Amino acid sequence: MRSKVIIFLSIVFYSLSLKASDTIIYEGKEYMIGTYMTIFEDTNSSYQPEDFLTEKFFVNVEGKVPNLRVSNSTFWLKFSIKNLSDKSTLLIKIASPNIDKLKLYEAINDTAVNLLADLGEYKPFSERFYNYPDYLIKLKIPIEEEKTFLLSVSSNEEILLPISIGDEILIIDKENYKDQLISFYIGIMAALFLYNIAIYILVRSKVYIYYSIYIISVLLAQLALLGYAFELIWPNSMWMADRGLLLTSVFVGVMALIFAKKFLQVSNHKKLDIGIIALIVLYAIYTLIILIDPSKFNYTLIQITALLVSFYLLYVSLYIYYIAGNKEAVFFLIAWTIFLIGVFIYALKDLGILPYNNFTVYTMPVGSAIEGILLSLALANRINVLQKEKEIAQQEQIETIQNQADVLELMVTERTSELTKSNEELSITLKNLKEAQTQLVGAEKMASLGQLTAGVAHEINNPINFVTSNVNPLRRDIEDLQLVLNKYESIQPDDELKSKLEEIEKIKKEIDIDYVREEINILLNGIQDGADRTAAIVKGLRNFSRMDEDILKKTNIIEGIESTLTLLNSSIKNNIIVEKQYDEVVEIECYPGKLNQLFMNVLNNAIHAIDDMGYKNKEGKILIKVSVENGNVIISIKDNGGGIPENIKQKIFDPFFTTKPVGKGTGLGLSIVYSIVKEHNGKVKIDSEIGKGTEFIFTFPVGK
Amino acid sequence: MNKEEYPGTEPFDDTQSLAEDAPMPMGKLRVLYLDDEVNNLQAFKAAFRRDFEVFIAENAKEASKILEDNIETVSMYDVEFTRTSIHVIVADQRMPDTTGVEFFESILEKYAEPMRVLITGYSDLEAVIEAINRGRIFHYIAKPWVEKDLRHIIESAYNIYSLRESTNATVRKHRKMFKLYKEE
Repeated sequence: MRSKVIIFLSIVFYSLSLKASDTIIYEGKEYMIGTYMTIFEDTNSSYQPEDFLTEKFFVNVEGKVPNLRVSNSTFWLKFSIKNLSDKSTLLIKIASPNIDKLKLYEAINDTAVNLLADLGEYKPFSERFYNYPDYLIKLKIPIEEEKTFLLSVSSNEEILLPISIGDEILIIDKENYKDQLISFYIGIMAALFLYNIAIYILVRSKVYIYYSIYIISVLLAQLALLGYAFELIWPNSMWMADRGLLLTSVFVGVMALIFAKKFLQVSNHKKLDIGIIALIVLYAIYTLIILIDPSKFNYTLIQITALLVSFYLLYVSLYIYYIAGNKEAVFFLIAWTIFLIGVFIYALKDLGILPYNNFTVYTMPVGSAIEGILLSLALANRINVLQKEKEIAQQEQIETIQNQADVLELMVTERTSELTKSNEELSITLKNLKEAQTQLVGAEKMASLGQLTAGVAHEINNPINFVTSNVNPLRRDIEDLQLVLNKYESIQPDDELKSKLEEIEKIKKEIDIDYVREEINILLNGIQDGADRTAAIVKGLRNFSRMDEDILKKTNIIEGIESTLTLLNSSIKNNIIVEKQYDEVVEIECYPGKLNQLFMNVLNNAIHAIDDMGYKNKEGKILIKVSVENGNVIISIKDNGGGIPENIKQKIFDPFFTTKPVGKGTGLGLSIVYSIVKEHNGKVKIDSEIGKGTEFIFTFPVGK
Repeated sequence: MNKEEYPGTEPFDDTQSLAEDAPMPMGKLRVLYLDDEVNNLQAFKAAFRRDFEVFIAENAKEASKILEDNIETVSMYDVEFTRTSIHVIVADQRMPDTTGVEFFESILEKYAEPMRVLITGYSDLEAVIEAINRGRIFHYIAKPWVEKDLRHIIESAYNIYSLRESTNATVRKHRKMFKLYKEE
């Protein structure tokens, strides 16, 4: 029972659909004639128009705009027009620029047709009657008469057939208006393109280039869709005509992916990035196929892939905005959403859900233009963002540098105070050392002075001894002489001379007058000698004690050497012969006390060196040479002591260096000598040979 | 108590034989002065020549020669010996070849009799104290000397010399007497 109902209903529906097409009453107004057409799908493209003069195969078209989807079939549409206008020509407009093959026939009678137009993308653009992307064909229908037409279309892309008829002039006006709108659109896109190229040149950020190319790809895709690409860019290229829509679709898809990848920095999210790269690869494969044989390529694939890309990019941008928190992605999100809305609307129109009108037809260009502008704004904003980031980074840098500078300053202050402190400590240490040096030098002076006074005391001892001890004997001798003198004085004039003289002779013999005379001489000589020596010692001491005279003075250095020798006499006279070779009396500008100390120290060392050799019989020799050469005085003090070994030669001027046993000698003697030489801008050289002796050679400038 | 009252003894007349053997009376004081400073030697000689017989030497060698040149033979009752006739030797400590103490040490064996006086500066004192024992020095005096003090010391030395001499003589005499007595 149920199956019968179904069969009945289906027959009813079928018969309902199998109705003859209505005739279109044309009264001069333009209108869509979709509903008045009947359609037949010629799956093998095997029919001839004559076959369709009878109506049996046709079904009614649903909707004002037949949507034939993507198909390999040829579609035949049949319609009749009764011309009730006041003109015998009218235009039919098939607003599907991408139809590959389009043929319009008019039925002459039941068996014959007349080919009115053979158009399509497979023919060069120049063969069109009118230079518009839409197909415009003139129909000649005499007034009050009716004609039947057959339209065959085939395309490898989606076939949408918004067909309308109308007055030629009115339709052409509309087409012109459409041209203007499209020019406007091209203008906007071109402007966006140039603008972003300019920014790229300025900013050198690759994302702008990609965007510019994306804009171009969008423009191309839209133009291809709208048929302007065929008209304006490749009107004569059949090769491009076959592939144009496909390639531009692929191109825009790829560019969308590339740009989104760059703009959203998808490479930071590996998983999303892989998706994008996969899609790009897919498009690459499509490209290959399209280039080789576009007829093999199913346009639906493009549509599906485009859908996939759209939603994937939407997902990516959502992810990056919400989950990754990239605030910039909002621009892309909004722009892309707007574009997708445009696409959505367009799709709905294609599906027939939304009516075919100016709004739905142009949502794509409009949407893409808005998207382009928004993304441009986003990119421009990026400069701002980058600027801000730069500022922040700079600020941070400045802060860091400031911090570092502060830290550095702190460190510098620390170091400076440390340095100042250690400087102070060093100054104090230096002062202490200088004091110690002075003390030591003073001690050495005292020590040598002690040595000196011991020597001096001894030196003076002897002369004082025999000066004093000579006096009494001298007095007695003079008393003896006095006796004789008295005797002579006591002679009275009337005394007997002979006996008196005999008496005197007796006394003379008694006292041994010759001896007495001799002794008087000897004793006086002794006193003289003693006095002289004492005077010399005192003078020498005075000379030597000029030690503390720190005044530069022109001094006879030979005097200095001599007085020093005097003071050392007791040590010298026993074993040592002092030979002197003074070239001339030499006066040099010096500190006389210090030079005397120098001589004292050097001579002392020489004496000790000789004593250590154990010479007897005056084998010890000291040779003192003074000469003048080139404004310099050269003083040489040479001894035949034990000599100085080579390894010690370096050290002998070192303070506290001594080869003497502990307790004998301070070790400062020669270091003081060295400092005195330096004070006088002089030089000292030592020649020494073990077993032979040592020579000290001093060179002093005559004038300081 | 006279001799006769002494039991077992007979009167003994030794005067003749003893007298022969009596030593010569000590003559004038003979003093040797050793100093390297000639002026000192002259001063010494001039000061003491009136009172003593003064010999002067500039160095140890000369001094030894003088001691050698003045050897005398002395017979003293039962002995006869030679010795230097110098009674007192005064020597300066500070000399180049030999110090005073070294000199005295050197002559100690050969010329043991003369009295020894050392002249020394104060600074030498430490070095000399020990040496004084070794050199058997009778006295020391500091330089510069005071003539009166030096004279006094030399005379004291001579007194001790003569005291020793007479003691020796007495001992010898009694020995001789004993010998003579034994021979009788």
